Amino acid sequence: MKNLKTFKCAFWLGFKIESNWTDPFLFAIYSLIRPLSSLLIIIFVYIVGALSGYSNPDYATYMVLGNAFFIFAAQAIYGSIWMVHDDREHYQIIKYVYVSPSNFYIYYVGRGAFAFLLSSSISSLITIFVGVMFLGVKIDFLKIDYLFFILNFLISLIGLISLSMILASIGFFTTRTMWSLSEGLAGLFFLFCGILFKPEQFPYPLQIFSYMLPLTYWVSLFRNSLLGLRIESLMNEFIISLGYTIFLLLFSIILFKYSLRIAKKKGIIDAILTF
Amino acid sequence: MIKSFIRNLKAIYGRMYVRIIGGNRYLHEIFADALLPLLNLSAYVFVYKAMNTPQDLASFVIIGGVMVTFWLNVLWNMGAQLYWEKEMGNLEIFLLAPISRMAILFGMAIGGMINTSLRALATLILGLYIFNVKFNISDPMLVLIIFILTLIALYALGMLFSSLFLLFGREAWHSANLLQEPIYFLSGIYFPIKYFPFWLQVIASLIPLTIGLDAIRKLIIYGSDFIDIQLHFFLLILFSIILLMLAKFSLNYMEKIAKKEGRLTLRWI
Repeated sequence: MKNLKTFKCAFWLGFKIESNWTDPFLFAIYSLIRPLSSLLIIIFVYIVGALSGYSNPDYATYMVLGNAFFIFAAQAIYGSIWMVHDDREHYQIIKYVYVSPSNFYIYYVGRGAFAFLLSSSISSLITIFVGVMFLGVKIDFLKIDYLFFILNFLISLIGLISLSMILASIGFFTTRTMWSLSEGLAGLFFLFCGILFKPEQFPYPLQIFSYMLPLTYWVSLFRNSLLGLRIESLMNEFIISLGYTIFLLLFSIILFKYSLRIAKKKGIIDAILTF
Repeated sequence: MIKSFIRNLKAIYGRMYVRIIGGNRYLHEIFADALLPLLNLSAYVFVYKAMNTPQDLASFVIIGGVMVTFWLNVLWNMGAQLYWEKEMGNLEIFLLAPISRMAILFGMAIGGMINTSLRALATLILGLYIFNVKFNISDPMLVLIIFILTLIALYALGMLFSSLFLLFGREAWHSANLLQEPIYFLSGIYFPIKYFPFWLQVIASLIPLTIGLDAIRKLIIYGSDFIDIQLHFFLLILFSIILLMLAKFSLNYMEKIAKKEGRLTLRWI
């Protein structure tokens, strides 16, 4: 019950900070323009390829759905790092949250939940909508096994939240390095996890690296389950995805507690180093 | 007059020095800054490879990816800088000092240009090496001139943003975010803008990055000469003059308004 209260308060705070106390219309514009621009980049890259003679309508579907899922991953990666930075260095409230009776881990999950669940969901839905309406993205909404899709989606979201908490844990120790870390991780996932092209396009050793990353499975399951593939044909990927999620969740909880303990020991929980 | 000029030159040097030393203090950051942009642009190179497009599109992406590092520097380290300075408590010190506000911005711009150029060069070399991209440069001096003109126009835009963002207050963060991806799209970072409809090409041409990038690509990839890019050349000069004048005007306006409303040094608003 106490954790739920913490989550609710943190969620509300996350909303206030993310929406920047601005008016909802302006916030809606902020939230839409960035993902739409990313989608437009992909559309034009596809158009350039098509005009150069490439013809495979399924590829547009591949790219749009990959990009729609990557919005969540990008939010998880950038959001967690910003949360710690904002609380510690910008608004300088981290010490007050720490001494409050709330669960710190739940606080950060709640704090990032607004942007992660609402803002990213809306951007992702718009990306899919534009893809279906204007790019010939082929999704047969009657064919989708919605139960499997939701289950899959929840597992990958828990995985991404866990990943985000791992980064938040690292954020307790780092200052400027965290920008490079989040930038690097987002770039790495964007390149290697089959967001815009299949991992098989890579030369041999890089393919293995690609299949070692959890996001490769999460995005593949998101894409394939939306395209109507059944659990039977995706069982291997599903088991790997579930395994990665459980591992990351446990690891994030342990690492978070450990990081916090070490940061407290070193006296740097509220150290202002960059601002 | 001369004393004031020398004082401002010292201010430019001082602000530039801080930026260069601060930006290069940690070796791992230099390494990361040079390597990380490659990850994103590699994804687009692989997309073009997957689609069997001509090789020059890979060169397009590499040059676009290199120039985008300048855009990011302009947005976050120029545009949002005065807002961060206010949050850190440095802004009032800048305003109290007997120097021109423009000197502060010039120093920041020159420091940013030098830092980013070093990283961009490393990204370019790595990109060329990894993707085995071939260039066809006929006039290296002209490339350098256009590159410098592009930077001047871009950083003049950054100087204009810095006072505008300061006025927006907390919105500075969203404003910079809002200008990131849309400009990637409009300037054709990952594809040639000739594929845009005409009206969109006109809008895109209002961004100095689009003009500079187009000219640099023509010179580097297609071996064009001055005749081919003379319009770009004059447009970049025009952009630089207008944007510098606007930056000066907006800086004075921002200071006046902020003083009047009493929120020049107020944090978290």
